[in-house]
Amino acid sequence: MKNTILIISLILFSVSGQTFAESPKIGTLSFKDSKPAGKDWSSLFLEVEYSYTRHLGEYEKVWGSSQSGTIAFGKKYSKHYMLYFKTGYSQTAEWENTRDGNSMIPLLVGGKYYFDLGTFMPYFAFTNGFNVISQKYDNFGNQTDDILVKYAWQLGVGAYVHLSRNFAVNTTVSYNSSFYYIDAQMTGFNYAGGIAYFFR
Amino acid sequence: MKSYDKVKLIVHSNLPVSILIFVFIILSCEISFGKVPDSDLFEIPAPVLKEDRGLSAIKFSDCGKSNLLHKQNFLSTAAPNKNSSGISAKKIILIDRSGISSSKLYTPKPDFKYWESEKRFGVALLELGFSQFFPWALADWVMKPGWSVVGSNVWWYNISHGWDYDGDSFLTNNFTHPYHGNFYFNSARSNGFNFWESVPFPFVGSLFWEYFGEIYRPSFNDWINTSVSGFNLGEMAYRVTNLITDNTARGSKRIWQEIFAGILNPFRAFSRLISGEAWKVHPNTALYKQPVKIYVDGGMRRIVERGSDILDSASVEGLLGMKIRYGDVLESDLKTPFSCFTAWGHASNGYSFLTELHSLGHLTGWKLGGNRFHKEIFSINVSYDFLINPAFEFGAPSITFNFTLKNMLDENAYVRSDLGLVAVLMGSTSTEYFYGYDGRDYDLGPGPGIRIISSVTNGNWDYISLSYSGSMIITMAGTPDSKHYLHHAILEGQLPINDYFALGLSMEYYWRNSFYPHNVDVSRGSPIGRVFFITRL
Repeated sequence: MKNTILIISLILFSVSGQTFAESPKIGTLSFKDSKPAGKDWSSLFLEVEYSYTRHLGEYEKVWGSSQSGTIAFGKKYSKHYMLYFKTGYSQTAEWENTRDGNSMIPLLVGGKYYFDLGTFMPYFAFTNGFNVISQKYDNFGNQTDDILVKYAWQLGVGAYVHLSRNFAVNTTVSYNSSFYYIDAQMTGFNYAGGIAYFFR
Repeated sequence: MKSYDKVKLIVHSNLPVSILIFVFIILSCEISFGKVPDSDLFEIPAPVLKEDRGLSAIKFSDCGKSNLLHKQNFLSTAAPNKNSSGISAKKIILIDRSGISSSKLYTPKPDFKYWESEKRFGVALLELGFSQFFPWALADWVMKPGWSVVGSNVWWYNISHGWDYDGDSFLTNNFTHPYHGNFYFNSARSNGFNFWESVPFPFVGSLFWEYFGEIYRPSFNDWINTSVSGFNLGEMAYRVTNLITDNTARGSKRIWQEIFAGILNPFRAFSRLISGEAWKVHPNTALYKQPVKIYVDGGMRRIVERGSDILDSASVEGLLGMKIRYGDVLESDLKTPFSCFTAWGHASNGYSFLTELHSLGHLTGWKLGGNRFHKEIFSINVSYDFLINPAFEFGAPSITFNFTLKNMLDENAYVRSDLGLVAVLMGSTSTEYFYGYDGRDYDLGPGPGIRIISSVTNGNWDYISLSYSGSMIITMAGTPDSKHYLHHAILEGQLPINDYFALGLSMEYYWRNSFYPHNVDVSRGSPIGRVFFITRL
């Protein structure tokens, strides 16, 4: 049964490719054609965002989730790319709330590769930088007063929905992986939503 | 059923089929979307080349019916030449046989469309997928070392547990991984993407491999080494192979050029094969005409394994090396990545065959000032270091921020000085107190560094040069909480005998101060002496 499904999938995929090839727009596998003229614009942008991270792995066994508020400033280039700097404040909660959670300031730079479809602008995003972590307890329950600086990165997908010429709402889902302790790295899925203002 | 067996079952049942489907989708998309006309993709080589091989000497009447089609092809190819140049086919043949290169009779099409003139994401993705699938399949189906037995359980474990550092050998982490990253980079670079657009490919490719290609947790040092040194090595391979392949050459010369370039950069060779550029006569690009200097050197070195005196117990090794100087930061376009780079290395008959490999590639730069007698340049570079010998080992991809000064001494000779601040992204250095579960015997970590070079040169020969490289490695994996201060000073002289040959002598000193909070600190020094001849090709 499984093999039958796989073979049918194979045929369907190859047929779908053939159908595209027979269309009059050969060689235009691009979103550009569906875009009205005059959409290639560049501008600076400012974005505020709230995010919730559900952690994974060994880290999750102690610290269940994090909530963050971030602000990003950067530039949207006319062709596909956005570059930005992002910082904010994040608070990590312990499962039982018996101990103080960790607080964290992310210092990140990143880029997005977007597809401008007009109102809707989906993208892939990669962000990396450092988390400055202030902790009262370490991952093993020991009381401490450490400041840790750890490498962090996120890889995600998301979309802007333009509400007006300048304002857009933004949602992103990303995979987040940051150093913490070698046996308990800070991994998780991050769900973010925010508002962006484009200076154009 | 044990969980291990489940994983194995999943892999052996689903994964190969899934990968096959993936490859098929990519292939079907790329070909059926028709980004390139079929004639360009699969053009049968026209028989023009055969004229060079003396086809004109063949009497068609002697060839029989089987050669009728061949004859028609030949005539149809010769006819346009008559129209365009006014010379009859017969004349072409006669001129050719009289010894004048026939390449002069063919004007490459001025409107030739290069394969790389547009981005071919599908082919790039296919090649990236192949460069991951091939080593995985080789390991899983042939070599069976165990690390390739992956499946959904392994993947989820890796996603949820995140980064680790691996225990691979020095050679694997510092040479094999960068070499593999070069393939990821060139899967994009050879398919229409520019340098900066190709850089994400080794990062994403390596990330994918680390999470899904092995049973081990993703290795952070692998990711850095594969990605950073991958695009560094990849762009050099791309540019060097562009120097090798002459698009106007024909015959056996052309074949050998394509084969040699294909060995150095297989994905570019693949692109040239499917586009027909490997055999079509067409104009060379600007990358074919870049200024390059190649040096080959041979000699011997005496390396003291431990001690401060060159007469102490030492290893004597024969060395054979090569150096490539591509462009010149003092003359090149500073905004073009890798418009200049230098790469050099040595093979030895001693401790390790590949004993030394370095490169410094230009990313971007700014001219700060200067005139006929004086120049000042600031540049950002990516560098790669690999050193393994009986006394020490060190490897690192780095980013170097370089001030370059040039002061003319006379019409030809000048003093060139470089002062660089270095960010070592992932250093590997010898240690006394760590021996990992997989046999790794060195520490891993990032750190800052400095690099100073000053030489009196005429652009071809460095009459005398003095260099110092120092770095601090903050151990992230290996001996806990340790720090290493590494220093390497080199004094080298070259005595040119003529324009193409020189004799040389170099004295080096490498020393390491390692601080171990939980063990006794260690200081080690190793003097190295080398005599050599060097020739400029």
